[in-house]
Amino acid sequence: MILFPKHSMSTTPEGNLGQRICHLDENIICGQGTYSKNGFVYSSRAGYLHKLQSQDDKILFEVRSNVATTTVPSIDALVTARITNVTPRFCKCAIMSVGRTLLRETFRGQIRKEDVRATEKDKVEMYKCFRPGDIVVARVVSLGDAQSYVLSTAENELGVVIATSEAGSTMVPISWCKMQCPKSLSEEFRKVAKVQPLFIQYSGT
Amino acid sequence: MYSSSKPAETAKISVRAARPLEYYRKFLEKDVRPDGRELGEFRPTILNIGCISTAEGSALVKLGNTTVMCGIKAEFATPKTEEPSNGYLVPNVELSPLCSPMFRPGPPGEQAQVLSHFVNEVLNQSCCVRKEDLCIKTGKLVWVLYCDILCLDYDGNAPDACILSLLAALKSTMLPAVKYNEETEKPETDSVKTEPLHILSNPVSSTFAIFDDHLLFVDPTVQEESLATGTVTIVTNDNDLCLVQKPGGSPVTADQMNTCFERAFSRSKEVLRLIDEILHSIER
Amino acid sequence: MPTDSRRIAGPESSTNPYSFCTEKPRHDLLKNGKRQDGRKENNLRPIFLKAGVVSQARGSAYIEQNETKVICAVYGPREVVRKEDFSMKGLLTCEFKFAIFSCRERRQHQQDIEEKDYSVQLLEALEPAVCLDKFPKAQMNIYVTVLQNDGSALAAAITCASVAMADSGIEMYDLVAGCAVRVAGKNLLMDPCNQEEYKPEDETGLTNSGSVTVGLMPSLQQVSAISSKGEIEFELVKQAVAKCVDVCTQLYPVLQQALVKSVSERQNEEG
Repeated sequence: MILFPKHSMSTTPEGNLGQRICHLDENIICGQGTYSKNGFVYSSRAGYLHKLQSQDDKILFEVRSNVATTTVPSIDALVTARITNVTPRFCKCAIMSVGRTLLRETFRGQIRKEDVRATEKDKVEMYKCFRPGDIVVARVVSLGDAQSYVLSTAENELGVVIATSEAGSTMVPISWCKMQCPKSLSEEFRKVAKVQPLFIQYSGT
Repeated sequence: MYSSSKPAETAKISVRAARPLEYYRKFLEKDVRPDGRELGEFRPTILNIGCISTAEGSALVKLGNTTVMCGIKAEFATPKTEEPSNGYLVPNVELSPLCSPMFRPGPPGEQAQVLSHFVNEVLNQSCCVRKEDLCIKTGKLVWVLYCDILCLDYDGNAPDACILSLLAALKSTMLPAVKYNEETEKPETDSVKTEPLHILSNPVSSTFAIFDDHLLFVDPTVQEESLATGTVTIVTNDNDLCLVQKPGGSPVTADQMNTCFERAFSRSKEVLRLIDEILHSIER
Repeated sequence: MPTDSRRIAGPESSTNPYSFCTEKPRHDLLKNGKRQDGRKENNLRPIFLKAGVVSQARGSAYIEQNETKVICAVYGPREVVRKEDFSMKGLLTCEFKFAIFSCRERRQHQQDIEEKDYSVQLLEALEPAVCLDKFPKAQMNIYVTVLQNDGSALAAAITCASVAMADSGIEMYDLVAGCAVRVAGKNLLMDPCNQEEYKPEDETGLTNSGSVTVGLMPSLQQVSAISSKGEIEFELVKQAVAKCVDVCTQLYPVLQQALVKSVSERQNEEG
């Protein structure tokens, strides 16, 4: 799909913020980091210009930067969050990262009872899914209200990835709804995400 | 765009963010810190003296990423009636919202207030500037030195940076020559001639962070500060001890304290050598 | 004045020693076509501009025009804490501050009227350049501190803040370059230093005395901010603005270079 796999350096004027890239015509699509105005394509970010070919044979311009770019949660984004508060109807959490981008400051989010899992929505008991302090991976469903984003864990891969048992050690998942403490061997209920084994491998390094 | 990134990848990044303590322990087991420093190693210290010409004295200090600027403004004031020949030293530390996301606009927060008092204590205890030296006319007119310390980049260990910038700024302070006219009872300032300020001693601060209740390391970064279970700040005054601050936190053994004292004194020598070097290079 | 318990208090009142100077230097703005610092009317002071100076900030920049030194840091997008209406557009805030030791006269800790005025002007100069719709219901905070003021502080702040914003990676339509000019009679002094700046208190009875500050988006050739002080004929204002636009366009490569350097440095850091 990539037409020019080699990056053009930003030292070429095209990659710099506010610079005119080219004339806008029907064969050109403005991708990320660009915008069109008065019949021209401009760069809206300091970075490296990429010229790509889209599926319908149009030319797509993107200016990419190694600085984390879009750092607000957007609809459909995967986020990592820490649970802060659990109530019977919903739980509150602090969003720590969006996609692969780590946020310096958290955003408030909430997972409603009906968004915890895809099946048997009416039988969800919040305290059997999340506890304060758990780290979850979730998807943004809507920007919510002025207060918080609305998140969902209704996918197999989404849910709790790290949880600490009452005995204080990191628990290991034993099923999609249970985790076990390696010390006390006690079992606790969680809405477990399927990525757990991979994750433990990473946290060991 | 995010729908393309897999959940596993999202989880990967959160390790360092979610478990910083475990992340640190792994490093400290091998007596090294994530930024490559040994436990007793300070970050590279950069000093720039006399960088602000609108101030009577100024200095910029960089301790790794931590950047602090001290500017000294001298003004006239009437002395207190109980100490008619004493001038004023007014230190204030500002942790502006510019230097870190932790600080919000508005009046100084707790940390800034604590720092201001700490700097004030050091100034008073070390007697590095004699307040009598700031007298122009007993009972009538004295100097007031406003020592404003502004943090520009907060990456931990503000106390050491503040004290260093203050000392360097005081050493570079040039006060305009003043004559007190007895007849008009007004001062006359010379717009060209200046006089240096006498610095009698050299307070230097060294901060240690306590990790997991037993491990001590010097010059903590902001992340290390947040993970530490306590801190110890030692201020030396040439060959004497000026002030020790240990605001709660984990208990420390006498042995550990001794190691800290030794390191603080050796640090003091390093810092004073640095200040002298810079001052010499300016004079030349 | 109420006492401030959060700061170390000094004496109740103190005065600037230089107000007691025995002889007060008087100077003309122009002498034989040259200004006090030896510049010609159109000459700017050398500019040093660096992006990415504050490690804790999302974006930051530092600018030096001889003795005028300004630092700017940008934070966000962060959530809006105060309960406000849901907005699909992002919020931009700006705080402009003179460091206490930055001027001949000691500044105060609290923001004064001049600083509040500059905050608003700076915000209005930058807002048109930022793609606010890229961070719905969040806010970006811009903090500007003048470390030393030797004239043209607002213009330097505009340039510095726009580079800091771009350094933060937030999308922008264009950078904003700032430039100031002092109008004195028929003379237009570009990039005035502190002594040349227009001060309303000592310009009584003079006509055509004032200053103009312009913020320009150079690539789009759009002016995002104009502010003028003093009493100037319309024709002269037009001339002044045209000159500022010219200078801002010349400044553009300087801004871009600073950004490119910061971007490639980060690239190298990450390997």
